[in-house]
Amino acid sequence: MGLKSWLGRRRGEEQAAAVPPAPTEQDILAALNRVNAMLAEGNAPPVITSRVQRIARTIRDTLPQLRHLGVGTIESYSVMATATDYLPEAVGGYLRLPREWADTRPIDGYKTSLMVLVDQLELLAATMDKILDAANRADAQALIAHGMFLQAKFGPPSGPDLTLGPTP
Amino acid sequence: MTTPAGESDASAAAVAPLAPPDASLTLVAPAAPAPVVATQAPKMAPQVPSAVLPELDAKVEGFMSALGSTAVGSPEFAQQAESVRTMGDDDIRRAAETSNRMLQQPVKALKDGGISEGSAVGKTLLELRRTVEDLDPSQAAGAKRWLDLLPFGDKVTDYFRKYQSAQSQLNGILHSLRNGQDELTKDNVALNLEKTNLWASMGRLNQYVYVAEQLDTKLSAKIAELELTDPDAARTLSQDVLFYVRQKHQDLLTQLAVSIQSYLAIDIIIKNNIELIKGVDRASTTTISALRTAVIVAQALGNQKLVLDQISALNTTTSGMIERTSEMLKDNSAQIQEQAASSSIGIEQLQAAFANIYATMDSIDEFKIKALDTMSQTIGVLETEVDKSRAYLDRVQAHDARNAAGTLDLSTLPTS
Repeated sequence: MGLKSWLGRRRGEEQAAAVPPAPTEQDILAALNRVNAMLAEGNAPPVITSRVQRIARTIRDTLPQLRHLGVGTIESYSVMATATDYLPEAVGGYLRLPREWADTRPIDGYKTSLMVLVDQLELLAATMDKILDAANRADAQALIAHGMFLQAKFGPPSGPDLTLGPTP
Repeated sequence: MTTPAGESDASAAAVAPLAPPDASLTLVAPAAPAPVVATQAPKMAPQVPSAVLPELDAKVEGFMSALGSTAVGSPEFAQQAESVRTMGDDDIRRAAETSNRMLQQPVKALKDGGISEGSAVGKTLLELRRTVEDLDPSQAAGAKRWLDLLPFGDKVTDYFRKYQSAQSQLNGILHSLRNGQDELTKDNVALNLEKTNLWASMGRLNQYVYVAEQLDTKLSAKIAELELTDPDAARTLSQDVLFYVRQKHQDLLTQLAVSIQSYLAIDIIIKNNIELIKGVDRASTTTISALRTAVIVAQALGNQKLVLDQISALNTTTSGMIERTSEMLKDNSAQIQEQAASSSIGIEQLQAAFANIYATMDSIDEFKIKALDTMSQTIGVLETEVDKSRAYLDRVQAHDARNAAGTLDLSTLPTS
C-alpha cells in the first residue's frame, strides 16, 4: 500500500464518524422494540397497536431476506427506514397529541389524527408486505432454478431418446 | 441438452459487461426570481374569485353609505375613518410575519440545507468521494503496470481486499445518502405546506386590494362632488379617509409583493431539493454499479470471489448462476471461463464505472455552486422586500389602538 493511499485511508478513518454506520439487524430489532414500548407507555388504542404489530412482524420476517436483497437496494433501505424512522415518527406524532383531541378533532379534511395515523400505518404495512413478497419471490427463483438443474441432470431427456436399451 | 431460455439469458447477462448508466447527468440550478414590482403584484397573486365580488362590493357600498349618513367630523365619522386604518391589519401582519419566517428558509437552505457543504448530504458526498478515491483502480497508475507485467497475483487480490475493508463505510454512506434524500423530500413537503398557506394569505390580501381600489374610486368621486358644495367637508374627507385608504392600498400592495417574492423563493428551494435528490440518487446507483462491476472483474481477473454486502443479491445469484450453469453445460464451461477471463470485462470497465461516480459527484458539486449563487441572489431580493414590510409592521405597532373588527374586516370571506 502506497504512502498516499495509506494517508488517504488514515484521513478516511478520521472522517468515518462523519457518516454514521448503517443500522444493523440488531438496531432494527431494537427500534421495533422501542416502538412497542412507546405504544405501551402511551396506552395506544388497539387499532394502532394491532397495525403496528403487523408491520413489525413483516419487518422481522423480512430481515433475513435483506442480506439477499443487498444492503444498497432501495427495498432494504425502505425496511430499515420504516423500522428506525418512519414508524416511530408516525406513532410518536400521534402519541404526543392529547388523546381526546387526537381522536375526535378533524385535522385533515374530515379526518382525525387517529384516522390519519391509521392511513399511514396501512400504507407502511402494504409497502412492507410488497417488499417481503418480492424478496420471497427472488428466493423462490433459486428453487425453480435448482429444479431445472435437477431436471437437466437426472430427469428424462427432453429431446428424442437416443439411449440404447440394455444389451440383450 | 436444451437450456431453458431464461437461464441462458441470465448467464449471458451475468458475463456481459454492464452498460454504464446514462453518462450525462445534468442538474439545473433554477434562476433567481426577479424582484416583484408592487404594482404588478395583484396580477400575479391569486385572483379574486368572481363569486366573492358582490360581497366585496356590498362591503364598499355599506361603508360609503355609512360614511354618507354621518356628519363630517362627528365621532361616528372618526370611527369610519378608523375602520379604514385598521382594514386588513390582521391579514397584513400575518402575511408579513410569514414572509419574515420565510426569509429564514432560504437562509437556512444556504447554511445547512442540501446544497451547503456542512449538510448531511454534503458530508456524505464528501465521504463517498474519499472512499471511492481509495478504491479507485486508476488511482495508482503503477498498479496497472504491475497487473500487466506480473501474472495475476497478489496485487489483484490486495486490490479487491480493499473493497471488503471499505464495506461498512460504504454501507454507512449508501444509507446516509438515502437518508439525505428522505430529509430533502420531507423539507419539500413542509415547504409545499407553507406555499399553500401563503397562497391563501395572498388571496385574502388581493381581496383587500380590490376593496381599497373600489373605496379609492368611490371616495374620489364623492370628494369631487363635495368640493363644489362643501369644500371643507371635502378636505376633511380627503385628509381623514382617502389618505388612509391610499396608504392602506400601498401597504397591501407592498405586502402582496413581499408574499409573492417569498412564494417564488420557496419554489427555488423546492426545485433545488428536487435536483439534489436526483443527483444523490445517481450517486448511489453509480456507486452500486461500480461495486457490481468490481465483483465481476474480481471474478474474471483473479477468479476471486468478492462478496459485498451492498450487492449480495447479485453476488450470490451471479456466482451461483455461473457455477450452476457451468455444471449444467459441462461442455460450455470452458467457454464461460474464457469469456470471464477475456478482456471484455476488466480493469477498464471498472475504471469506467469509477469515472461515472466521479462524473456524478462533479456534476453535483457544479450544481451546488450554481445553486448557492442563485440562492444568495434570492435572499438578497427577498431581504429588501421583507424590509419594506417590516416598515409597515413597525408603523402598525406604533398605532395599536385599533378596532380589529372594523366594518371592512374580510376575515370571514372565503379566499378562493
